[in-house]
Amino acid sequence: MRRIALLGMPNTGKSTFFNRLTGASARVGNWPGVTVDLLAAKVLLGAEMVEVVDLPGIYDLHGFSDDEAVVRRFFENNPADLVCVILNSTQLDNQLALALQIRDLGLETVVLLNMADEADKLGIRIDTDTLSDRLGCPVAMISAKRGHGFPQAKDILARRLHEAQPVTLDALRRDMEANAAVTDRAEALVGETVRMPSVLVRKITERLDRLLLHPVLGLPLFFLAMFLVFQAVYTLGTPIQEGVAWLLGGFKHLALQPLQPLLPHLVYGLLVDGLYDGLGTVASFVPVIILFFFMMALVEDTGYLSRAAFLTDSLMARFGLDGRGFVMLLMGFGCNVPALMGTRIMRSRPLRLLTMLIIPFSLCSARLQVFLFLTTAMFTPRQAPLVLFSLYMVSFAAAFGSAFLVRGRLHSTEPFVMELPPYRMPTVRHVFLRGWHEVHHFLRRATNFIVLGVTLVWVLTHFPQAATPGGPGTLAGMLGHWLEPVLHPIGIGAQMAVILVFGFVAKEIVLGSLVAMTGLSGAALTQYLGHQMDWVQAYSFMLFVLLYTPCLSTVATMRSESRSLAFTTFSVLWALGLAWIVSFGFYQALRLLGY
Amino acid sequence: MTLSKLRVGQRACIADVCGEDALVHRFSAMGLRVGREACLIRRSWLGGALQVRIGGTHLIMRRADADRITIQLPE
Repeated sequence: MRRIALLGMPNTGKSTFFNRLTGASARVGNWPGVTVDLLAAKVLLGAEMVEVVDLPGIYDLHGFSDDEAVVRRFFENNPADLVCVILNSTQLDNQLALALQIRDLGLETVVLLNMADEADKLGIRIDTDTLSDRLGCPVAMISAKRGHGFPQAKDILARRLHEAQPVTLDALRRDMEANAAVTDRAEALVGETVRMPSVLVRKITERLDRLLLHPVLGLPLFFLAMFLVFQAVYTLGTPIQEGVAWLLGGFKHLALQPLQPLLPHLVYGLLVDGLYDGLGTVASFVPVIILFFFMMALVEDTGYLSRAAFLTDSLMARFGLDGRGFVMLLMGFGCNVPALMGTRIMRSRPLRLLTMLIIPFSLCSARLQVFLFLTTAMFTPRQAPLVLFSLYMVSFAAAFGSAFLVRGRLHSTEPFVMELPPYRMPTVRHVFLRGWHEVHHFLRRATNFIVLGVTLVWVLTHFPQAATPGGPGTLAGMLGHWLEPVLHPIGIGAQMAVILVFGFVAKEIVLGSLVAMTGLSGAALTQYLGHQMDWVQAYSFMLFVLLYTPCLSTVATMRSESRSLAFTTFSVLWALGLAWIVSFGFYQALRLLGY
Repeated sequence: MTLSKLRVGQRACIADVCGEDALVHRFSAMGLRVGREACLIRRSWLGGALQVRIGGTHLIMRRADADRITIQLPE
């Protein structure tokens, strides 16, 4: 199958174009010579099925960052029949050089000038015919977000691919070494083909920035915005979650319980009390997670995250990090795994490692699920959102505190320079696609782990059969008993200790395990927990869950991204140690105070 | 004079970028190269980041990094 590679600088709408071209069908794949995962999808283009690969956004084909090396190695090891270079029409003065670099490699190319609508508004005029002539490849204007020019762009890609000659990698590898200076040629070409107004005024953006990047008000406004996002997720999500739980309970009552006399006791126990209830409890929180991902996609799409980097950089500098690290930390609130991968934009290894060390402290959506359940179970409706907010604060504190303690060993001199895009109105379609993409990944990762984990917990808590389910005589009871000396000082009992062991695999399992272990769900489980723990114990448990290793996927990603087993081990031990110390301090202090 | 010393709203031409090759390379790819006009848009609080416009691109950068860029004020 022939292959099209998408290439462009960060913030050019390359992924938007990829999503529009491929729908939601993209899969993560492995590529020869490239150690990282790249998104790819198969698409019908003209009469031919082709594979489209979304390469990481880079500034310079011959640059020195990890992402830039990934792109080079991709081209050297995987024949690309056609390279689709996506450039931001409003920034051709900076971006055209990238297209020239690809042309210099002799690769078949199509250049798409994205954000045509923005360029038009700013009064930028581009002579695409001359540009196409000089570059020796088709050039077309599009708006990937709104879909303008998209059918034409697809036609051009199909036609060009049809005419494309097979690539010989040997010649390409030779050309890759000849690092020709292209900036002068690019400048001359821009001078010839692009007419820009002498002053580009971003009126709305400038007005918004005057307020949102205000020296004094900027940061408080940012935290207020974040608080509102979390508050919205909580208020909108809770009723939906209760609705789903009600539906699942109804289904069990009507369709599953009549099966009880027909099935062997053990089989019914595993399938219904274990798997169905366990998965059901987890599933009832999925709407909240979906809502969360949509909100994050919305915030990300507006361009506000880059503002966060600007506002927080001076603060982050004190912790040996930079503004990009703060943005990664925020991304981590969705899921730590993509946030860890996002650190590839950092060229300096110490800076990257330090950022990777703190990302696992981001309160990700899987942990949010556990906290939503426990805060609702253990606190009043008025207290619950505040308790949740306090956990977010602890999450930040753990991240910054860790960075502060380790920064001396991971000192970096990497310059901090990044683009500040104008504010953009997110389109429903795009937010939906992005959000859906994240949800899809979350569900795929979660379901495998959850089914396995829940089954295992059920087995551990129901064998040997002679013992009371979930009691001290079961396998789980014994495991809990061994862990008691370590976990008793932080207020965690034998039963919850077993949950923590499973939570190491993935936090998505925690709730399902709780259900499988106790054989209870819904209100009965809430009541049971209220009897088992007081609020101090519950909070100590949540602190531990927040701070210790988020999941095996995070550990695996950490290992592959850092390429260091020693660092990965250090990160896991650091998190475990910190979790224990913080929970211990909290639990003992409150007990001393008489709570 | 360096880029970080510009007043808000002031424009100047980049005269020199000093640093190791990799850094000059990266700056150049982002538009920070000799001969281009830069304009300081705003400074963040407590000696924090700067917002700079190069052509049609707005960049944010740390003050220390902006100090590596020497500028020439228009006569």
